[in-house]
Amino acid sequence: MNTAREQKIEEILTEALRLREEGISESSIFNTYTDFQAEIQAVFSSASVLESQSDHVAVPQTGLAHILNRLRTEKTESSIGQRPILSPFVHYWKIVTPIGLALVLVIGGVLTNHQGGGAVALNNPVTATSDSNLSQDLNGIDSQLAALNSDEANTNQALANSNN
Amino acid sequence: MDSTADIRKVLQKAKKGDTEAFSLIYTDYYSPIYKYIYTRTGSKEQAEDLTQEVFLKAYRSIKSFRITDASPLAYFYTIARNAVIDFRRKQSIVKVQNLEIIEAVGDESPNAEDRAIREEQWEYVQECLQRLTEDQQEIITLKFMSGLTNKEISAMTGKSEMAIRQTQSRGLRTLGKLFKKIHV
Repeated sequence: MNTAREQKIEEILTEALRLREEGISESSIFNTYTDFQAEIQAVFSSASVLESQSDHVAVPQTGLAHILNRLRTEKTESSIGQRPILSPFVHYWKIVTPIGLALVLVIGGVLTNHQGGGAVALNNPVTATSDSNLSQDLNGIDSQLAALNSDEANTNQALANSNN
Repeated sequence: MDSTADIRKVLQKAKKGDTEAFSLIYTDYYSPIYKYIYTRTGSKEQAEDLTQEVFLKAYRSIKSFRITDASPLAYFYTIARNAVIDFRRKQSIVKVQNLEIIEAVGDESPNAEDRAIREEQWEYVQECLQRLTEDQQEIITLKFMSGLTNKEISAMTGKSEMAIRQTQSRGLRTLGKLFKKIHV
């Protein structure tokens, strides 16, 4: 198909639709664009078919009461200060707060015992005695080592004398 | 309500939390919003659910709504449009075959045969609409089935009125060809 003519048809149809919307009668639009009457007629016919269909839809009215009820419920909820959007959070915190509190107490107790335990251990007489015994043991080992070293030195001296 | 001025007064009251004012808006706007969603989703149940969601969202956010020159209805359409986008995102395939048979409200013709023809025609139209691009479907539905002006559609979609008219003309031409094939 001729592209230039096709483009011209589109321009004319667009203009014809504008005129139709402005309330210009279809016959005067046909008379203005006599060379494109068939195309304009086809477009206007399609538009008329659609416009005539618009009245054929049955509109149910049962929804009005349902919507008004929902609206009233929302209004009541907001008027008593319980915005629906807050409700889930309110319920959430009702559950979470006691659990959270219990956890804080348990963790706090554990931490206190752990930190306090260290401090108590330093002053614990049993532990202090153990530390003292360990210290005495270490001192004993040092003495034994010193004695062994002394024996070794004496042995070495005796060997040296016998060699001489 | 008779005019846009009236609806603005009612909106002012609704902004202050007047539920009765909001119910007036609901009465006026329910039908166009429902029709728009129904056309875009092809499901009666989804349209009912989403329309309710639209009004609930509108009510919750109405305090931040700014009353401007644009039609207040465009505000509701914007919420509806986003609801449909979310719905479509969740639905990978929109099954045209599941379209509901529509019962005409205020149908002046008691003739069952006429009604059957119109219902059949509605289904054909829906099928054809589903074959357009997403942009075309939306803009054409808003314009020719919901009755919004191009200025309002422009404010909603962020596209220029010129671009909107171009989308409309392309979509309508495609629809014209499809209608011919199925004799709408």
